[in-house]
Amino acid sequence: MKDISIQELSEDIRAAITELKKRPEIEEVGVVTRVGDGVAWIYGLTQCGYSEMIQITATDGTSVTAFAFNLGEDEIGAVVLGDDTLIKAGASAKLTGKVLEVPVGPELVGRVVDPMGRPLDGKGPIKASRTSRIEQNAPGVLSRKSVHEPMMTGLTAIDAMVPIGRGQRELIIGDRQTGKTAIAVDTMINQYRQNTGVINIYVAIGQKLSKVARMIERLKREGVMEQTIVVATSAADPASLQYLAPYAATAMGEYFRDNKQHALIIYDDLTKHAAAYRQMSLLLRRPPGREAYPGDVFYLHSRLLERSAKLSDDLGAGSLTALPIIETQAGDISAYIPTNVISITDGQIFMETNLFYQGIRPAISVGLSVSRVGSSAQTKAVKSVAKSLRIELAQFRELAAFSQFSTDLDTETRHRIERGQRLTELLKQPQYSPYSVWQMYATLLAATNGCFDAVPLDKVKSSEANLLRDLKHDHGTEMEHINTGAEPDEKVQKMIVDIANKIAVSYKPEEAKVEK
Amino acid sequence: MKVPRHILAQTIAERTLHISDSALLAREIAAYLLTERRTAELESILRDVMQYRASQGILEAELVSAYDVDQHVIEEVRQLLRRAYPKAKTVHISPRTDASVIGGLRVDMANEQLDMTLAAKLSTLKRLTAIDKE
Ligand SMILES: Nc1ncnc2c1ncn2[C@@H]1O[C@H](COP(=O)(O)OP(=O)(O)OP(=O)(O)O)[C@@H](O)[C@H]1O
Ligand SMILES: [Mg+2]
Repeated sequence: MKDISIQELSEDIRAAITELKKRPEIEEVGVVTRVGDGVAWIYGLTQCGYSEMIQITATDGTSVTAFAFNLGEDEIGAVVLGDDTLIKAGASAKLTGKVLEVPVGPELVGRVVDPMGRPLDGKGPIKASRTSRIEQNAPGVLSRKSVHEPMMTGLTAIDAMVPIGRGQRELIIGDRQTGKTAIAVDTMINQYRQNTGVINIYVAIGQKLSKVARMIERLKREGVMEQTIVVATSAADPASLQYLAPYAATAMGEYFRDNKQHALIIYDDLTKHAAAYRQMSLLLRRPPGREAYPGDVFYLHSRLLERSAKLSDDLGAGSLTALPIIETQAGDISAYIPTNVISITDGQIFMETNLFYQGIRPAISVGLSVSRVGSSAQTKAVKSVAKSLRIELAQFRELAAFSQFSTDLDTETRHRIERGQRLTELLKQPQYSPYSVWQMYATLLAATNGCFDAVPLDKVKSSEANLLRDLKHDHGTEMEHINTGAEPDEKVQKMIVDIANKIAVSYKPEEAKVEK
Repeated sequence: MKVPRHILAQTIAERTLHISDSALLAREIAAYLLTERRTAELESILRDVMQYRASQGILEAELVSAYDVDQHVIEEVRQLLRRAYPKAKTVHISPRTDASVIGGLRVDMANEQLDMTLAAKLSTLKRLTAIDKE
């Protein structure tokens, strides 16, 4: 008979499907064929989706979670989250139909958790009522707004020359032990000191646990831990956990972004993250490319960093600011991962080993650091004094390089060099002591007006301290006003310069002349 | 191993040519798709089936109109399709009403369509006038 019509057939099939669906669920079960190095190979489960969670029955009867990473034609490569020694070949595996989720919400603030949201600080379970998928789509163009509010680090060198705005992604890049983490930590502390209400999220990827513990201790001492979430993985954790950490932490940050709040997320560091991903990929036999990273390593970080954004007013105007950290080898920023991340972010703060050992700390290279969107977020007060700062430092660097070879310099050149040396001196800042807006403003105003030019180099810092102390003591209300970000009127400006000049005189200019 | 869609479609199409109990076949297919978790592919599979059947000379079309059409309109469309596809041995036409087409007729086939509805004309008009405005 040729009289079957597909239209009718289609309706019949749909009806049958709805009817059959009411019956007990048919479950698909796969079998683990081999396991090792944190990877389980599973036969079956043909319906598995990418990054879907799989429950594998362990030898002791519990179930171990894994997530699908390689979807082959006849087997699945799944990355085990947890102890892979509990899994034996022949174990059964079931699909969950879900991708990985982590608890999110205000309950996590003040806690130290692992990438699955499990507490690591021994303060008991986390009673978060919400969960969120660790992989989320980044907000689209229409959901965003351009960056316009400041995210102050409290470090004069950064806030004046490479200002960061809320919703920006600013890379901190440099060799090992150049003070990268210190910048991130100071920024977190500054959020507390300036009472910005910004929630900090610090993601430690493959770090030494002792280092992380020391940092948490410090955050507690500074009082910042109350507004901070730490997502910690150590070098001893499986690569899979290290790989998941930044995504999970971002999901936690997105909660604040999407609820009209502001959050700051620090990925320390993405070099180790890329290495963890490379390890997983090689174990799963993905074809290696440049520097043995798999071909999609760019997407690894682009999809992560795109989730940091400033949302539009319709969506509540919340923001998520990212400070990813990258470690370079011998200052080589043209290696694979550094170039990738530089191209994804909105600017970079480049840390130089040379500067660090010369005692110029934070060791920020002014010439190589940029912020591509932050200037519209800079406070008016700081902006007004920062313009000449950048130019004067640039001129100083050029002249300093030349003047190394000549002894008799004309007065103009010598003057420039001296100004530059003093500015460099003033931009030095010890750890854990972020400046507020008025402190930056007063220092830079005095310096760019030449107040400290006659002060001997080694006295510059202490005359600055005197200036700030006097200003705070005698002119507290004016300084509070500068802290709101507004540029003060000429009367206040003159007052600051006068006080600075008076202090400078007390540092005996005769001595300075002799020193020359 | 997952059976490729075209093989699945071909098998179903062959069955439809030799079986007369549409309901039984429907249940079989439904059960298969459910166990294989491929219900989402139903639409594509059926289009494949229609195309395969068309290549066997069985043309199937859906006639969409805003109001019920009478038998003689259906016959007219059948003549039209026979002329357009001289190779077709059988032509199945299933009428369906859909108010959103406003007026006129639309003939849907596996991967071809003849749109003579008012809705389509209006949207063309809208598009053209929008360009003029710029
Ligand atoms: N502004 C500063 N003033 C004085 N010392 C500093 C300053 N910033 C950092 N340091 C010191 O420099 C050392 C290295 O700093 P930090 O750990 O932040 O560097 P890092 O680049 O993150 O290092 P790693 O590559 O090991 O992660 C630390 O001992 C820190 O105390
Ligand atoms: Mg560090």
